[in-house]
Amino acid sequence: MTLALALPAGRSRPRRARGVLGPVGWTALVLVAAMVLLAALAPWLAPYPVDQQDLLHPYAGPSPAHWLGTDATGRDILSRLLWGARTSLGGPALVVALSLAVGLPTGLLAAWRGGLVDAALARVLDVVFAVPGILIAVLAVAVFEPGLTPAVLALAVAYLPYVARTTRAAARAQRDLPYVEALELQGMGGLRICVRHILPNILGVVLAQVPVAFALALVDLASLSFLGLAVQAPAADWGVLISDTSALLQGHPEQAVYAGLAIVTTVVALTFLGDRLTEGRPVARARKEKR
Amino acid sequence: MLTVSGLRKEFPGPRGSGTVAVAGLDLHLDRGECLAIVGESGSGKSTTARMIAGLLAPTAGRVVLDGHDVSRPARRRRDRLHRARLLQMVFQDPYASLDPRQSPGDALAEVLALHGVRDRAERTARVRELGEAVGLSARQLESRPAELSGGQRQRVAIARALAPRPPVIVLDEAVSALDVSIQAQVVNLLADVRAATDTAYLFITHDLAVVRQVADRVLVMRAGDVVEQGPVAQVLDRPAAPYTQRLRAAVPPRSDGARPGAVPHQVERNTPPCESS
Amino acid sequence: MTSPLLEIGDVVVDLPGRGTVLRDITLAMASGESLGLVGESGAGKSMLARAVAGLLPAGAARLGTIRFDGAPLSRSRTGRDGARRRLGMVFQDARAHLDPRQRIGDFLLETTPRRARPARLPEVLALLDRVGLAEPRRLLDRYPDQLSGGMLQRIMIASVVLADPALVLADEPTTALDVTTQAEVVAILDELRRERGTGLLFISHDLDLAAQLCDRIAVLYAGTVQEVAAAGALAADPRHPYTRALFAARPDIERRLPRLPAIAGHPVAAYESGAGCAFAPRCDRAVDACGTALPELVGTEHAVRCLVAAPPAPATRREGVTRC
Repeated sequence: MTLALALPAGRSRPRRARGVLGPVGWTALVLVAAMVLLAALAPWLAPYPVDQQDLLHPYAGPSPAHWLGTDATGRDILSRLLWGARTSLGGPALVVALSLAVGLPTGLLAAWRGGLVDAALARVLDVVFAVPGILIAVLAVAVFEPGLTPAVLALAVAYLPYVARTTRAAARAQRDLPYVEALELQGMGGLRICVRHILPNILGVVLAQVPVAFALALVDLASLSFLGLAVQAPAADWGVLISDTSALLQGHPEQAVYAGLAIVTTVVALTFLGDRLTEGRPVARARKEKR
Repeated sequence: MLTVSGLRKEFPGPRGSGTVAVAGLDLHLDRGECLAIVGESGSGKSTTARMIAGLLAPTAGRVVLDGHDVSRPARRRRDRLHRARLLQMVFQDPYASLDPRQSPGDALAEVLALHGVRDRAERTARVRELGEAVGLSARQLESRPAELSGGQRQRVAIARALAPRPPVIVLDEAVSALDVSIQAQVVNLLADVRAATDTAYLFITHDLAVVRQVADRVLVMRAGDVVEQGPVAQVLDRPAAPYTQRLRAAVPPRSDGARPGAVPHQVERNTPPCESS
Repeated sequence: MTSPLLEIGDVVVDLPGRGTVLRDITLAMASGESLGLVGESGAGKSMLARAVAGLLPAGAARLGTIRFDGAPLSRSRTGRDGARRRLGMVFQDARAHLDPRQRIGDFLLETTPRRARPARLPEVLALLDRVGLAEPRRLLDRYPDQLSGGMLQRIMIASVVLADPALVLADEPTTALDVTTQAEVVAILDELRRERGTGLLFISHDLDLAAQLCDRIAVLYAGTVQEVAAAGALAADPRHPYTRALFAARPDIERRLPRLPAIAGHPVAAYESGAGCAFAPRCDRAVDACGTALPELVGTEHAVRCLVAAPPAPATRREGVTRC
């Protein structure tokens, strides 16, 4: 998540990070950072162990002892929310990190080699792109077994085309710039040019997509958990908290509402952040006229 | 030093149609010489430069540099580096010619390391030396490209081209995008560098006045063909080809002294629009 | 002289995030006159054109007055800009100013009511022929992509002339064109201007081209007018050190110079220059006083903004604002 902070200066007219983010962006960033911090510090912040039951006090309302009340088995909802943030935020982070780890090199390779390599990679990505992420995840879970790992891997595959395509487009624009041609003429190898020169210059454009990808992954993973395909009860994932239908049926939607609010807040904040980061970013200079 | 024979480039078009950008070109460039290639857009002059530099594979023809056939793009690392030490290039757009995230000093040091200057102290010394040769101060060498003016960036690009000490430098409209006052500085710098290092220039330009100032010989291209070539004085003072004469007449007269010449009124009928392309 | 066609008085333009790009611009144009604005990057010549056209970037602040045809021009364009109706504009990149999906004929007749178009057609065809385009009737069905840059620029000129402007503002109209095409386009601009008595504000970085086409030339540097004079007088007797240096720095197509007399340093924008003369740091004749205060633009026929300007043939000094 700190990735989003690595703001590069614009190509020709440098903008300061503060100017790019603006008040809305900063508010969003603070919100996201707070969520991350809460998740990281859950073991210390949570007033109760995550699965400590108190069968004598099910569905307790908010009180000084239980700020957000308790669930059907008397577990502290606040504690469960805090613990749940760990998988709910950690999962999408892994999805984004994995898709970046594979997508960046793929996009760079396609842009650098061009021609057949580019065309072949584009077709493969098109196919992946055409299949909904959730479907890939359902398939993965069907083949392996329900759990966070297959769900994360499946979503990482599903998100790969976004990253690879953005990377390819940005790298392609750089590849035709004279500074890259000058390095080629100096005899520098393609790998080194890509890693040392092109990548740093496009990283900003690619990373600006991270918040939105993260938000989408968060919703997707929560949906999978809700469906019982990713994080399994009794573990406390936000998706799991929402899916606790017994509570809903007994007229106690509180924990689902809280978890839903957590998801919505995080996603909205991330979306605004991504919006601020992509907006006003100078698009890599278009190919100069040749001949 | 550089011999080009039968150089040809066709770009495939839709439905089997293709365009011939360069239709069989021969040229030679001696050590320390400056040969200008002039032409208008679509003449094939830049395509020629890019083929000679190895950025574009020719459809046919040979490019021989210092006895080595370099017609095909180099694949192996050794070949690439060898070729880099024979020929370098300076591009038109000073704003896109440098990695925006790398200081000129770092860029030069990186290139020097690539060409085997391993010792750090020696590298620093060479960077300073290159900076001095092109008129860049130590402070400018450490600044970000965004802080440099167009002329200063072009100096960096020239220094980078000089780093591997190549006997040939291709200058593709290298002074065209510069302001007049800066253009003069860079033209002078190029002359100084040539005098000091005996580097040969292949100077691609559309500007005949610049040709007069920098080149020994000139080659006039139009639509992929060479229409005229010879010593600069001969081609500019007594142009033989009708196209060269037109080119020469189209340049606005130098306006000092008396009332500048009025606009010559010869509105020519343009060719009818082509069918599709 | 009757009331001027275009009158620019004490115009200052500030851009958000950058600062002053034009300061104290005072210029006037008689109707039917051609005025060249010449300068290097940062001189502010395009910004001046934008100020006149009402196309300043959002957030830009403009002080001073611009009067066109007797009426003051607003800072920015409004939907139907009555005051600017008789102001035509030709830009550097004609292709960027044409809708790629619109046929040339539709573009040229866009502002003509559909019913009036057949009546207008002969005029359009004659004009296309006039700007040197062959087979104008076939041309009307073409799309911009099918035509060369030079042809598009001729079409732009024709479209501007169709609106019967009193003043044509041409911002580097030939910079993107080849020399031979440039010569033709410049000839067309010149002929149309003379035939119709249109004023021409010609913006260029090319002194020779401006001198060839324009009656008078204003040399801009760092957002200020440094020298204004009749083209012939300016070429024969440039008085501002910058104008002199600029003339000297051009390579000469006729002969090779041992060395080009380059100007040290690089051009700056108004916001990058200090309190005094912006050219002083690059000027070989600068004295201490040059760095402290911006000199006035002095003179009538041949105005110079310089403390140490080469002395003219004895003439009036300190006359105040020029009428140009």
